[in-house]
Amino acid sequence: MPIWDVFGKRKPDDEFEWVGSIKASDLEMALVLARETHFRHKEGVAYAVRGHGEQGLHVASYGGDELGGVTDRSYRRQEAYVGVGRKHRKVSQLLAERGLTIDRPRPPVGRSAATSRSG
Amino acid sequence: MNRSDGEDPRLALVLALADDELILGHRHSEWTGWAPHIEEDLAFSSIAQDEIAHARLLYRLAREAGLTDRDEDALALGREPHEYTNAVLCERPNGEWAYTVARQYLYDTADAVRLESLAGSSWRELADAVKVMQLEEKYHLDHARVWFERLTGGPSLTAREKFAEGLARAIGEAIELFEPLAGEALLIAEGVMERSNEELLLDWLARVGEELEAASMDYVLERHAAGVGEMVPTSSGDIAGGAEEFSAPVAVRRGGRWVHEGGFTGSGGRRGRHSEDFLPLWEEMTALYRSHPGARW
Amino acid sequence: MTYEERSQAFKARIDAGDKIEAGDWMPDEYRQSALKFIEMHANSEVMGALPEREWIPRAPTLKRKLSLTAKVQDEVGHGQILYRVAEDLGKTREQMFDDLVNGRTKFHNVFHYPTYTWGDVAVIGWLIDGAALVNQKALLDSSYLPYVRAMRRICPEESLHLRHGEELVLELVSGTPDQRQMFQDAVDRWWQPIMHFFGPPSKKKDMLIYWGIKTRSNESLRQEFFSTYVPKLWDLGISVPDPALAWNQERGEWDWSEPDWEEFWQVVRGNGPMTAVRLAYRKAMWDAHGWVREIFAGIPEAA
Repeated sequence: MPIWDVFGKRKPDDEFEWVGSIKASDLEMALVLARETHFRHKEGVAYAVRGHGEQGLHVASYGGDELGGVTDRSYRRQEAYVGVGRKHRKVSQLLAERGLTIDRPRPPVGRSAATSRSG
Repeated sequence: MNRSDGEDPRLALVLALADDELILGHRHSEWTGWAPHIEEDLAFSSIAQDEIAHARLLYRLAREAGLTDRDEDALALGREPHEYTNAVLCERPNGEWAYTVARQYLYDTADAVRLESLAGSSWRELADAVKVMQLEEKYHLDHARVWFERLTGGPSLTAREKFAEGLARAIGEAIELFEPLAGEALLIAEGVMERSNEELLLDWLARVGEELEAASMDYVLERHAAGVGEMVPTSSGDIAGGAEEFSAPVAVRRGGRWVHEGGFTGSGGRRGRHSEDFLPLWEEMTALYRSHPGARW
Repeated sequence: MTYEERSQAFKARIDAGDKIEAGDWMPDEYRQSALKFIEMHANSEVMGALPEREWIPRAPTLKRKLSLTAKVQDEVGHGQILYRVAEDLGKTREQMFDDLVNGRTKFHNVFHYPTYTWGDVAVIGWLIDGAALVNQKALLDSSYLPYVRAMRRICPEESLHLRHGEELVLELVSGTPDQRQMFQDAVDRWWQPIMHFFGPPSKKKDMLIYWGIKTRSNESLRQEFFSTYVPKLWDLGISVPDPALAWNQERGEWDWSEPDWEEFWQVVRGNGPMTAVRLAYRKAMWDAHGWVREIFAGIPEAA
């Protein structure tokens, strides 16, 4: 099954950069499928595909806002979840006031979550 | 306290559109995770999300227009089965991939015709919402076309046969997407609907007929016409009701184009009467929402 | 240079922190280790989609219906990325899928278990994705560069899933008593599979660590998981079903009870509670859609 390299530009003035590859039967199918494989999170404003052994890029007709959806897609973007940390603290506080916090030995505050790289 | 939701023709219009998108989106989303080809899984999941997002947009529109007090979740997940007005086509199980893409092709070509018309609605907020939806529907049409061409025009006979079967099974219920709405005359008089469902159906049949003919697949329309009006088994294998229960207009070729004849009898979903496939779908879709009234998730 | 000499030079490059590209010469042992590891990772993404996709039709709000669909879509997307990396090491995706659905290759234990409630969706979305993210961030240091690139794409998406999962958790624990209990029950049921997720104590000679494909031990990843998630669970008043789990200030690490490793090995051998059922679904889908694969195989080139 043919493999197609996929290229995208984040901004209109960028050069096309390789972002990954897909498998598709032919060029038209590749152009349709590449879109949701590599650009559904608004990773670009334009994209193109190239078959193995080809020289030129085939630029897709979709671009701009079309990539990543036009109706409300906040649920799949980082921005929608920006308040989660704050919410966690708030909920923790409310539960502490209700006496529900579990009081067992935990690492000291300020210790980073990642342990040392050794071991 | 809810207004009598059944009364306002504008609400009926929005709910019919929204319910089609919700229920079909629900079915399409069931392919996420196990579609036959990974990149296609991703594409089809986005199509499903588009449909559910469109339903959400339309439910919100209904509330903002003061046509209902219910919020998007109460409308999508909180109504009784007979209150949903999606076309029966949308509630059928996905079956095999061939039926799924056949249905997607028929549905999205039909949706394109009705959205084109509604984009000029005198109800500005609806027209604006429709124009946004059309931007996403473009991809659905391209997707449908790419599959249509590969299934009908490729070297695989199996693919062609399976797709033809899928189309034949779906086309009768696809026609019912255009069942006239109660109060449609009023909507047309006010310019909310520029064209009647009757006209839209003719337009769609002509387009689909042409495309099928170009692919030498118009026999599926003929096969469908032969099947309707007889005792047609339901998907469970039972013979349900008499011929009139199953009547919908049939597609026939007249004067070089595909048209329809025969009348709708109201069992296509728009009056809240659904097939045996709706209740299990409704139960699965709404159980968690209904079992915790007022809960946040 | 003999093969042995080339292998040793290759190993020296890895030890020096050099990265390997897809087209580089590599010893067979490296290629096989990397392929098997990445194939299992890809398998786990697509098998992991199965427990969660059951809840798409049942999601309790439209927003969650959408977000869960998008999340499962992303798991499939991760599978797509990883299978492509594995393919370039010499095995076709079709072959990998065929091996998977016929039980010849493996996927992570944690995806062999059933889901019962929305509480499970929250646990998977926060704690299991959290565990996966701990693993995946560590893989950013892998010696195999195409795999590193895949992780650079996957990790931000996984972080998004994590915050989504955390949001689901917060709604449950601050919701009705039923909802709180729903989440606590799920944590109780999933804790052991999560402990299994990090694997048994690392073998003395772990070939994956030898070749730099993995850079951290199972144990260090597990400790990182505890430090990240256990205090947060306790702040939410959610207990963990391990009476020994506690920070040991003297040793500077967590004390914990070893899970049942016998069950772990049973599941590795393919005897998990949902293994047969899930593989059967996948196999049925795979077998039924051979005709679709024929279409994708493209037009055969003229002889």
